[in-house]
Amino acid sequence: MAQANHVQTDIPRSPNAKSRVGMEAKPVDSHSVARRLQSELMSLMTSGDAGISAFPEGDNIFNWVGTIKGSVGTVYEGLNYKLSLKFPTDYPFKAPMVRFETPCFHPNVDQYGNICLDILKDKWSAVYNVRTILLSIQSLLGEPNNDSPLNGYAAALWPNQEEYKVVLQKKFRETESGGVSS
Amino acid sequence: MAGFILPEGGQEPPSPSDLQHAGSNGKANGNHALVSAVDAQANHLKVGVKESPKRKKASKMAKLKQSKLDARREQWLSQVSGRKSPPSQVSSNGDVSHPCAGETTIDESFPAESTTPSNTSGNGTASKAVSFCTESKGHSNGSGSDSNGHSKDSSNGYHHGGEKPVLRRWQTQPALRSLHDEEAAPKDAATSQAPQQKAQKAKMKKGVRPQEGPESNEGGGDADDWEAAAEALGVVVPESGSETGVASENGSHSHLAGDESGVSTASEGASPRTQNGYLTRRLAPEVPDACARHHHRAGAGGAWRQDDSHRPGTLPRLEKFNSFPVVPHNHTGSMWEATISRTMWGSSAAPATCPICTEELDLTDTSFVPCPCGFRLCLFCHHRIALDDGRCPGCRQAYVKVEKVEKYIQVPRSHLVRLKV
Repeated sequence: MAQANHVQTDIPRSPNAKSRVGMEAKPVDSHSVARRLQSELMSLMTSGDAGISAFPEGDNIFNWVGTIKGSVGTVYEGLNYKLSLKFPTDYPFKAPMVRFETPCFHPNVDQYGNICLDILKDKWSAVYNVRTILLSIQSLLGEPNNDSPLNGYAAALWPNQEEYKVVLQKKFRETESGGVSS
Repeated sequence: MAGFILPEGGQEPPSPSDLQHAGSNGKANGNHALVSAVDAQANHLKVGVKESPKRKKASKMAKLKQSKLDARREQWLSQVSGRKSPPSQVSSNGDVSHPCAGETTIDESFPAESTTPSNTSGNGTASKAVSFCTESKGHSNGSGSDSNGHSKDSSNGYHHGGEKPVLRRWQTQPALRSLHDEEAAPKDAATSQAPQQKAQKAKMKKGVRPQEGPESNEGGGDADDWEAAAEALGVVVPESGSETGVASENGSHSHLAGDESGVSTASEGASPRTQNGYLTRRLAPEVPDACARHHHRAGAGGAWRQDDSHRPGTLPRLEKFNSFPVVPHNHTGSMWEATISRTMWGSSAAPATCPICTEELDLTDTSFVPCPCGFRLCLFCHHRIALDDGRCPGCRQAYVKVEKVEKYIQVPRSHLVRLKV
């Protein structure tokens, strides 16, 4: 693509321009990533958004644990979900890996907790951050995209909200008890 | 004066065109007389400044004045260019009394200098100036009959433009002035008599104003004038008396005009007609302005405020000084800088830190707007994104647009390719 060619001709100010050979093997300044993550943590803690929270897991600031509360008025109301966020070393230019740690019965979440969300894939933008990710997932819970389901059963069940809620509660209780036992 | 300007309020500023007519009439003497009058004042003022002990202050004021001058020149140039009608056409149907009225209005700004010999003695070195300048100066310092004769000489067979210097000197001599007015404008004497009389009354009122005394007695009166001019330039004149306020503001105008002509005298070899035309353009628009101001002043009393609704547009405004066009320092092709403010990210408030890497944005970064959406980021992050994704984080649109433009500017070969296509 022509874009890739001319990109290398301009913007000579970047220090990476000379050292870089290809598109891969980016010597990312982990300090700057940590700095960005720290600032995100600060803004997340000061924003006080209801229903979402996240905090680094242990000493590694590249691994976070987040929690999402089901939005009021949806079938997920009152349910808490735990997520893990793994940030790549070239974050925020690449999206973090976000998965549900708590098994989630949802059309766009598979049995391993992987989430099918465009902003975590091709629609990722460097301006997104942990807060926007968690808010997006929270809203995804109440408004699934049933056209490209990871969980076909949930997608098929979604139109029948009463039944969906029953199944959801049952599954959640199962995972809760399973989580306690494990 | 006030009554005079009102009937022709709807007209475009009449005197510029008329004065221009005078300038472009092709009568060399008339032109010279007009130029000489202004030049004489310019020399007058300039010499006064040179000799004044407050020279430094004056130079500071000169800078201030120059900035204002530029702004006003732009203004007038745009006005004049907007008016396409040729001067001759205007003169064919225009009132002959207009130039007289216009001149007399301008004249208000030179009360003391014109009548007091002490002032001119202080500026004795004006004789160094160009010959016709000193000549007109001599007339201006001379008695009424002297200048009367001069006016006859210069206006003999020529246009009224030639009489301008004389009129200028007469504004404190109402009797002579009225005489001269009749001479100068015989064609419409009947129609314009009443307004002229009103103007005379205004003049007489002005004649007894208290400021005239000290101004005429002081040797360095010009320097004081400069200060007054600076005051009028910078801020609203704080003086309480309405007449003094008018005087000082008028003084500023005249100083500007005078100095301008003085500058043009330096390059005197150039065609006098151009100078003349320029001067008329510079001077003339002040005419209705001054009239209107006087009119307003008679009722209100007090200096113009910045927020005054009747404040003439020709008066200096602080906003103008503060809003001199500051060209944004563009390192890359952010040619949409102007339109960005209305887009989603806005350009008015550049973030202090890069939204991507949270590093502080330096001067280069803040002036770097790589996308028409207005999303700003530091050059490093932009480089990273351009290498990988190539899409703006703010709008997900590809950065290609910028890159292309930059590339075409930088690489002439691809530019040629583009031309072929």
